[in-house]
Amino acid sequence: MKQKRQKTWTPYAMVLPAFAVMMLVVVLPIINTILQSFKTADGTFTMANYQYFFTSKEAFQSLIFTAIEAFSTMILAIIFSFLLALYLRFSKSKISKLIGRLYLLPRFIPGIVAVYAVMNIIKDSGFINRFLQLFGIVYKPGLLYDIKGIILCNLWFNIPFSAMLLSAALSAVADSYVESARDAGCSYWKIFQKIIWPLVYKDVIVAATFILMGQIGAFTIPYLTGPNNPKMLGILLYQQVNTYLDYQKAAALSVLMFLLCLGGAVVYIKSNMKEEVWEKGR
Amino acid sequence: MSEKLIIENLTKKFGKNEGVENINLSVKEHELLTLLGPSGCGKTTILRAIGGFNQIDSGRILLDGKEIQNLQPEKRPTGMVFQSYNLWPHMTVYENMAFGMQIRKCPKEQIKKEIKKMLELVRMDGSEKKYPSQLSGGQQQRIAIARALVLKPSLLLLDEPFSALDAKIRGQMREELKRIQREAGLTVIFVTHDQEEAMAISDRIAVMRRGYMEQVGKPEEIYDHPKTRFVAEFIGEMNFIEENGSSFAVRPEDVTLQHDQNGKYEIFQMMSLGHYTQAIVKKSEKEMLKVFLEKDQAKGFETGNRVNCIFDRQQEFAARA
Repeated sequence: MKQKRQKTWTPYAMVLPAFAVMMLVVVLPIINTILQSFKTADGTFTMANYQYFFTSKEAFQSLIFTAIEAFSTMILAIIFSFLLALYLRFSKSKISKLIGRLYLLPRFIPGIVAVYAVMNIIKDSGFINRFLQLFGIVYKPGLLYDIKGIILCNLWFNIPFSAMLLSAALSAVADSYVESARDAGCSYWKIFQKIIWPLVYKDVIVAATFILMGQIGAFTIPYLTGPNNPKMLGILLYQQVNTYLDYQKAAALSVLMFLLCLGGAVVYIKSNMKEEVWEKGR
Repeated sequence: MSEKLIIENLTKKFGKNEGVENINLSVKEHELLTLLGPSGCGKTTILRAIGGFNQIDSGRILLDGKEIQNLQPEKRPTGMVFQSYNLWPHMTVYENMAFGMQIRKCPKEQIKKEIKKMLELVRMDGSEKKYPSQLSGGQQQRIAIARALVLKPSLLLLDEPFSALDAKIRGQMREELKRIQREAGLTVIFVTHDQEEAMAISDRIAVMRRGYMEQVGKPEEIYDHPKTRFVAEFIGEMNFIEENGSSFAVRPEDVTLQHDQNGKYEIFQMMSLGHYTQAIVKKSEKEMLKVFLEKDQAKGFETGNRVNCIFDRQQEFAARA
């Protein structure tokens, strides 16, 4: 009897700590934030916090700015990392093996260190500028404190990350799939289009959503390398809390950002759930 | 029969020691030639060179009288079937088979007709709408062969196509392949490391070792008259008896046992293998012979009997250094 009771309760006891932590740091703060976003500073109900973000020019500009930055980062990172992953998968050269070992290195460099390193190279008085001065050329890249700077730094982190996901996906494309397509008379472009892409496009979508969602809440990189105005949503949120001390507006913005990410999550889940006939029983 | 494929002085090296050197080989029209050898002997290298997947270092490959060694695989009139993962998993059987014909811009009706014909040939009719994951390994390889054949290759290249299948299916597939080859009048190059498979299906076998051709000939010829010690050892079972600096090779079925109280040999082990019995006879710790006995013959012998061995046929080789 005692043993039976133990058996019934053990799983719950094992789940409890994780569940408690999740309630405490995820669920409760979310509920609290949602409630706060509908209140004024003295606690009465209002929609003004949301209204502000839908009518303010600054907020709208930030949203557009964030969208442009996020989509640019996503598209560039996916293109570069897909090319890299294709090269790593299909080239058998020594260079490919070397890159295969090194490409994850950026992931192991602390974010802030990397950002400062990139800044030192791209800023107007940075390495590019000084190096060109040696040849008498005065060139100011104009990359820093601009959307280009944010995108550049984000590529540093996102290319290896997405290349890792896509490499794993491409490893499921057997050599003989490609070789039998060539044997059948297929050009390289057609092989990509008809054989490789259908086998990996889902993972491309997954990588793209991850990158996109990361950009919506991005803070460190835009804070250090971005312009003052317009700014990324993460910076806007930071200012609401730390500069204006307007916790209710901050809460409303948080909810809006959460909803944006939810959109990404829906795409992610949909593409993961959709199982095609040929994948069944694999 | 005319020469379909001629390979002249083909060399393809990977690094210093691996690869093949100065290979000369010809395959006749409607012939099934097997490249047989242990792994790393270069058989797949030659096959892939014919298919265009290995750029060769030097030499010529002539197919139907035309040099093809510098063509890309997609330009060669060869069809290849790989060991496994042949079919594109995201396409149905029909789509798999239609793919190459669509690239060649064949009319839809013709594609449909050809696929139907080929599926009947490999006895897979009715499976058009299935995906590869819904087929067994043997069925997948049939479709792979059909997919290659639908493009009417001048030469069919098979790279250990049955080695991932289990023994029983493998046996069936051999018979099937032989039938398909006969019915469709195909010229086939088949690569395998399985000597039994090679013996069963080939018109001719090329036995390879470390990048060289040891012997090329009909299966019986290679079995009965191996040119080198390696071939004698590799094909079928073989006993080697070292005597006075030379060694004699005797097939287990070419040994006859005779009861003799003072015989030089003692029966060490008897093992029934179904339709025949395998006996191990021992002269000394070092010298043991394998003997195959007919079921009825075997009844007269028991473990521990002293016997004499009569060699009905033997072949001499230089002793192993």
